[in-house]
Amino acid sequence: MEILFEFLHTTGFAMMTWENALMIIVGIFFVSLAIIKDYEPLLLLPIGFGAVVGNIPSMDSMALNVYQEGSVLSYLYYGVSKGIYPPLIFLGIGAMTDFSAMLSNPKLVLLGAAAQVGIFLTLIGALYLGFTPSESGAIGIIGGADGPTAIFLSSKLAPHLLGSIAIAAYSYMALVPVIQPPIMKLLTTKKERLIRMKEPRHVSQREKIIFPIAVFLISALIAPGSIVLIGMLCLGNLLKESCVTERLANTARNAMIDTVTIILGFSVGASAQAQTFLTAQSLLVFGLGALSFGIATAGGVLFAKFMNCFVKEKINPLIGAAGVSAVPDSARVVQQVGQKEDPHNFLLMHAMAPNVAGVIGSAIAAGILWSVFVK
Amino acid sequence: MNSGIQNIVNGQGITITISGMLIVFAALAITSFFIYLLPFFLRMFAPILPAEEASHHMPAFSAPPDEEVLAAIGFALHSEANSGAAGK
Repeated sequence: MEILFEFLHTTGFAMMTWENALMIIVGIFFVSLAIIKDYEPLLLLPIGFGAVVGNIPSMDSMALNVYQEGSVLSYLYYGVSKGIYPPLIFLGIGAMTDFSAMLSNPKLVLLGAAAQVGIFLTLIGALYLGFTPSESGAIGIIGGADGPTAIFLSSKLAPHLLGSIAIAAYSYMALVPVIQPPIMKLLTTKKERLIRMKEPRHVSQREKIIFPIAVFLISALIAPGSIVLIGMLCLGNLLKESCVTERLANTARNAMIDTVTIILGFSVGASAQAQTFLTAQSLLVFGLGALSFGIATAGGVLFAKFMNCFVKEKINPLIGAAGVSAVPDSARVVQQVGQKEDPHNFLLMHAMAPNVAGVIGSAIAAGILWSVFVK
Repeated sequence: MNSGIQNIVNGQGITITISGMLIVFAALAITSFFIYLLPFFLRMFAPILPAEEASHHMPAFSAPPDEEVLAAIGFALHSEANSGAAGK
């Protein structure tokens, strides 16, 4: 009988706190958003379920959670805490990305740079709220709208904030269709939203093969901190475009990226334990993350309007919003907002140019912040 | 925990923001300029470099399947199927 009572004390029911219960509800909410609303289901579903798993209370002696040395989850989390998974995700993204839109209209690359203003202005905001420079850099990168980059940089600069930064980055990436449209509409006139852009030119295979090598050299030589992320992105793209390593490209863009995404999403979710996650700092990270996303979107849109003062062929400023590197979600949002004004205006291809430029831009920004704040 | 304007000044927030944005813009502007020039370079080197694309894509025609190879594959599959059935 005593054994039974002892066992009852070790159950999750007995050890449950209201904070754990709240986080389990948040996890189930994420899963529901993924299934019902289809918001970034590939990420939100494993993150949400991971949050449920990570918040089941257990005895310390059993070593079950991600922060306990020797637990199975800690081994899965190792790839997150050491920044191993993000470059693998970048390899897969490279192998599935077609840079043709960017190669056919090089001026749109600048929109990908403008949207990175969200990263740096949020850094100032975080400093203002009292975070250290390293923490501020890690929080600012949420504005890059790039989950793997955010995880990579925070694992280097502020490992203690990794859980909240990762959850914030992926949650806001999932909420791109909710966050971006109001800002895009607020900053553009109906006339601007109706602008139709010229068809992109044909891009030769040679250009596509040379591009990843050249962009890697340019980025890595300017910001060596971006070597890992940009290097893997460009390798993945070269595997795809070279046409001689189709098997490797297929593995990178399918089996490998899917495997890493499952483990990454699940272990990030499992790291969001109430005891480490429900803090005032985490709430500030979430607030700054939302601000960061908004500023990045506004930066891209406003820069597109600024460019229109100088260019002959006008740019639809909506595509500036795709400068945040949530690929391809923000490009899809641009397409949807544009088509609400004119159902025959196809902006998706044009929006993909700043979108992939944003991926490169945020990786460069991460490299800069890493090299500035590294101890 | 320090906060406010003084923390921004101490953390060199403004300097990092301005220089960071300049570096990101410089990197992507150089990339943009490179992309702009790339077709001109390729046209310039066209006489030296071998003709493009065809060599990298799938072969223009596929050789007819060798009858001996097909027969061997058929035999192997037939043997495999028979041995599997026997095992059960």
